[in-house]
Amino acid sequence: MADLSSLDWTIVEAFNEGLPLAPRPFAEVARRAGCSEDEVLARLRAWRDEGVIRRFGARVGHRRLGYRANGMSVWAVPPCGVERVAEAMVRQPEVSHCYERPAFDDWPYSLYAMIHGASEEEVRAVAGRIAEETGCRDYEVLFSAKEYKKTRPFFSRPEPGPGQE
Amino acid sequence: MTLDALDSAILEWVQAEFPLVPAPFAELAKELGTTEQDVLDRLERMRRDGLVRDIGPVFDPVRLGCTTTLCAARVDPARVDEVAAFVSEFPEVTHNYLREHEYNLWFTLIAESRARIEEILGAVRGRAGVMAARSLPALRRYKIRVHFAAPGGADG
Repeated sequence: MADLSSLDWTIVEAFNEGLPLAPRPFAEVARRAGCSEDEVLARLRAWRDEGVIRRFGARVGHRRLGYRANGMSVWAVPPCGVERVAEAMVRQPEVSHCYERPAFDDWPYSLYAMIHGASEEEVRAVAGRIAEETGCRDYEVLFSAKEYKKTRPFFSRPEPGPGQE
Repeated sequence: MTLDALDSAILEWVQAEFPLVPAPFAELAKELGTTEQDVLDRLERMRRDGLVRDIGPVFDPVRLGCTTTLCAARVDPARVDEVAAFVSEFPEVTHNYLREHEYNLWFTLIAESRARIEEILGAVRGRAGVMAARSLPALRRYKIRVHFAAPGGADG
């Protein structure tokens, strides 16, 4: 849960604009935040160690790189099989995300694996490999037909609630 | 944009090994055997061409006190573009896609609370053409590794 100081939030907000392409980029972010370059770097390193940030780095335009097919594969797996199928999915380098989510009567899929490739055939082949390995064949691959929006999240400090601050 | 071996190496480094030091691009240049200015110029070109969207911290939203979910909606195909536009207007919506299925509109939400998620979903359900909208929050995360190899890069 969030346990960030006021300065932490100032640094979080200063990164909403991203890191500038400059020789001393963290010094520039520090100027935005009104603190020192050392403080910014120290917070980032601590956050990376603690998992507050998953990583620090570039977001890549993967379609421009040739990953033209991005399929969300969804799998109907009985609860007893989820771990085993997830393990097979995680091993595929083409899988970027693997999550378990709730299933419903009209949507029986509980495991999701995002698969990226140069073509739909490549993506389907990865799904096929997972099916072969696990024997789980009740799945679909939903390709994105249109990208309406894709943005970085914009984080800002929470408003103080009643009785706080 | 054609990427040469140095571009691919830079792309690999900036995704995986970005140095948290005062002069990170000079550090990258040293590792890759070129100059700081060369690294900056190449990254600027990649940014202009949409290969690099941005550089920064990738926060785990839950650690910042946010609630996240994936939503799926069944929308009349004749109305899906206008519903999608409505959905995209919410700042809490980060990704919004049309997918080929009866459940055809898929969007991710990063919100300050579950109540806010329900509020947004309620508004979406009220739009003409929306037959159903569900929240599909992650019960468990097995993998998240967003890393794309460039041709001729380490994995490519």
